[in-house]
Amino acid sequence: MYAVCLRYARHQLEAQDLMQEGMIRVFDKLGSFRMDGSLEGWIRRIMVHTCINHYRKKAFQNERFGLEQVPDEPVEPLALERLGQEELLTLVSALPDGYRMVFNLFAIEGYDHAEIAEMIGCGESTSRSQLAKARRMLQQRLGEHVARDTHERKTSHR
Amino acid sequence: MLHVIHMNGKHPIDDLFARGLSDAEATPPAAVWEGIVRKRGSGHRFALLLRRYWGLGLLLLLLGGSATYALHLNGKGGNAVATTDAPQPSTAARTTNAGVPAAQEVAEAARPLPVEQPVGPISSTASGKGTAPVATPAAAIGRPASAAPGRSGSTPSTSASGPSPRPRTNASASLSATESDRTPERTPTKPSAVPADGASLTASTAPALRPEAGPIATRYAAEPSLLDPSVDYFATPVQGRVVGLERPSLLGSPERASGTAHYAPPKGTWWFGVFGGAYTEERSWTGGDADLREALERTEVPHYPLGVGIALGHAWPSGFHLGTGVELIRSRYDFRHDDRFVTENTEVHNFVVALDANVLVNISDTVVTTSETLVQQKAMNRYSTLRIPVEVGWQHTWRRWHYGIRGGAAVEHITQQGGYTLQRVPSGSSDATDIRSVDALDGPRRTILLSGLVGLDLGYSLSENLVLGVTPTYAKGLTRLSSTPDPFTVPERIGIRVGLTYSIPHP
Repeated sequence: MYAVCLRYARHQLEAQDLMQEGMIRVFDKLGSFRMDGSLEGWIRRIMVHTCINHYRKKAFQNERFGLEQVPDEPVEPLALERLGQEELLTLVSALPDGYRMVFNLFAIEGYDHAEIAEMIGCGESTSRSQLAKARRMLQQRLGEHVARDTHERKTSHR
Repeated sequence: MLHVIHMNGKHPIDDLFARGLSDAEATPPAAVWEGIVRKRGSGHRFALLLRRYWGLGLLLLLLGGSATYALHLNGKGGNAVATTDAPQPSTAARTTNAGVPAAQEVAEAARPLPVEQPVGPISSTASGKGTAPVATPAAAIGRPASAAPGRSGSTPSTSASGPSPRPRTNASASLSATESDRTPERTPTKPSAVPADGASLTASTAPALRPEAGPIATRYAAEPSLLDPSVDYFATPVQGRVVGLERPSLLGSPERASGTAHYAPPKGTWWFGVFGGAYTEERSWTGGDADLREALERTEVPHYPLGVGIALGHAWPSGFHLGTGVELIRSRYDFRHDDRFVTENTEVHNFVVALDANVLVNISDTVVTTSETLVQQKAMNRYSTLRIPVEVGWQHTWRRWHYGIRGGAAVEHITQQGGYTLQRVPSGSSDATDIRSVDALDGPRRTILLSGLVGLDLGYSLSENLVLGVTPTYAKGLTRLSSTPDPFTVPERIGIRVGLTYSIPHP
């Protein structure tokens, strides 16, 4: 569950706060858990909702980062295979709040845009645009990461 | 390339991160668990319990309070509304059976009778041993008709020499206690012999006690040795049944002990309620500069405020009621005003008529051109009114329905919260100005005034204590309570209030 919090938080301290808040809610609501489903899934849902509430309190806004200029270039697949969990987490955490929220909910949790719009209180179109921008930003950073990685390999070979 | 290598329909970026992070695990630092444990400590648990079970707690509190109250009432034996005569001095009771010890008398009195033996009226004519008159339990039976008509109506009168003309009192009934009294005349009124108040309990009153009189009385009857022989005991009724014996000193108020007949009239009830109102309001302006006032009048249009409030007060059995409370009324309306802009243009024309070098005529003509432009200013004016009313009224009750009239006065604090008002400008006209920029002009923005109200009441009792009421009202501002030269607004409001009123049950 801490990994879930890390995905939604900007940094570790925030993730710890979310973890704490979420676990307290889990303990508080444990009595309402019906034993007919996955406990892990139930806890995970609570954690995700805790994270969403946390960002809703911070007045989730449509963020603009001038990504319209970022080219939508493909990235070398082989380099991506070498990306570990830590690198992926770092890339997600570096996303702006709104992008990160929508990307996490859509790409990893599997919610659709209508659900995301309802959960975070924005329009469906906003959710789509945030997701597109999040993807482009990740793609750009992945490219940078792969380039840096390739450069380091070449340097080490010499 | 990344865009084409995934065939599962997901965007490659989504797929990459989903594969890498969906099952990711990380161990949180120990501080997180410490924080969770600390936050879920006793204080948190208490808050949680309180949050979860506050409804249950409130219910228990109410039940407990009701039970305590009921027990308290039982202890009082319903004396609050009973018409009673004080018992005669105990010496009189003792003389009933001369030579018989008091304890024995009481024991005899408390002896259970057969169940089927009805209780008959106690003759007020002295017979047998010719003893001094004493107060009887029957004399104390009399209850206000309103309180227990079934009982009082069937009580045979024993007021042979009662001085009080009131039917609710049976003062000074005298009775001679004889053995014949123990076989009283039959009467179908079972509860007639139940003493409603403290009455001297002697051998003469023995028929008044029945086997179902209660466990305490039965116990004393069975074990007379428990009674103090030096004390006269009185039967104490609880809701029409004798359940115990009390010492006279425990009977309560000094008046009762003094032997003065007294009647406790029904008291009024306190009530509180909530209400909401919908009104049609027109406002007029008074005081201050006449032109500005007229300009302000022209900006007014009828509008429809809504109000909510709470009230509390007291209602008397006669039907009159007095109440106060607080009501917040909010309203908005379209403000329209044509600001007049006057432009003055002055031109000087010189006409010179010359012949050769000589100027024959030199005329200067000044032409002043005045142009007027009207610019309409639009705004949504919002204002609130805080009313503190004091209202009196009278209501009549028919079955579950209540109807009546009311009238009262209120202090109203009217505040314009947004929109435009008018302000005199140096050119002499009145221009629309944003209210936020005219704090100095207190008149248009804030007014405290006294208003009057009349209304009709129509209510329906939903339960014993809950009344749903509808009150058409007419209210009008009367005078301003503060004095400044600015014009101020005087509202005139017609509307309807709908409210729920809860009468606090009287002990």
